[in-house]
Amino acid sequence: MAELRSTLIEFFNQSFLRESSADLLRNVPGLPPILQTIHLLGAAILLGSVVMFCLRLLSVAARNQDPLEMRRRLYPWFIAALPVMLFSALPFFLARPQRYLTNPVFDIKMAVLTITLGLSFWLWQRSRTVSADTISVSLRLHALLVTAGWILTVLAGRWIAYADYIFWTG
Amino acid sequence: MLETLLHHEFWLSLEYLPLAEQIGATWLFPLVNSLHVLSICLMLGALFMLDLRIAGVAARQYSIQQLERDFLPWVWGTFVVAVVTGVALFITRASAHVLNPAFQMKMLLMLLAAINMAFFHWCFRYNRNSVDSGSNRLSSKLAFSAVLSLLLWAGVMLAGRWIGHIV
Repeated sequence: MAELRSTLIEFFNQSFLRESSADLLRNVPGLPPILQTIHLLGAAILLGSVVMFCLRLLSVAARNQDPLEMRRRLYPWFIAALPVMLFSALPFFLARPQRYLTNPVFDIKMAVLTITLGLSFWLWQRSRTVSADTISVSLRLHALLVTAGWILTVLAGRWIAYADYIFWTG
Repeated sequence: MLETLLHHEFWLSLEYLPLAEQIGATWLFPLVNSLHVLSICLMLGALFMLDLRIAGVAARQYSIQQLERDFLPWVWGTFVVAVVTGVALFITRASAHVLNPAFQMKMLLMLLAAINMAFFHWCFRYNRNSVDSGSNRLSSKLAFSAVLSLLLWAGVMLAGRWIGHIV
């Protein structure tokens, strides 16, 4: 595991994208907060699409809307948000790979994100024939997990910058 | 007048509140900060759904009234959380924040968003009948207000994120 980590750090450190990303973030005025805001707006779209759909399945939000229709309407927003999330985050990662690859909170975020993404796609698949009166308990539990997963992902994202508060090594 | 207000020692005294010191010196700060971000993302997620419907871009099969009933409680609920957590963050460095141009811009944009919301409700309330009959002049006014809301809140988020880049 430690070896994989150092290989990854070395790989990204040698990438020609490191210099160019770092230059871009340093030299374009206001680029860091602009990219971060795009990332946050993408998170808002994720919460507004997949999490809102989960909350509907849980009968917590939008109870008068048909879940199947919601699924059809919100799925494209979920898909569209993913590349936005990736590309608004990538320059930061590429410019300082070490900062992220040695950060335990980043590990947690990536693990939770991977699981939550998988669970989300599975949920969209499972709900292809959902109707308002036949939301099973297992589908509701699934929706609850996905909701918790996205909330954790957002929180962990913010905590990357605060890793020292939990993992203080002195 | 404004200058005196912004430099008033009141802001500094906020930072010496036991609560402010407690938040600023412990893990409460990142916790509150992450909850602030989470509540804003949820709030904008719900608000944007509503705005996009009013702008005529999405979910046109539902009436504006129904989507308001579905999403406004979420918008307001998460807004309250964002304000409470925002104040908790603010008091830890109040005197610096009031002088921070990004913070000032954020407050100004939120004020404009509030005025825009009042304008929307005024248009909506006094023209309820024409909303239902789909009057074009009114719905274009409402659509304008909805697009403005999208832009203003995106601006609030940008200005908010920018606060941390000016120290």
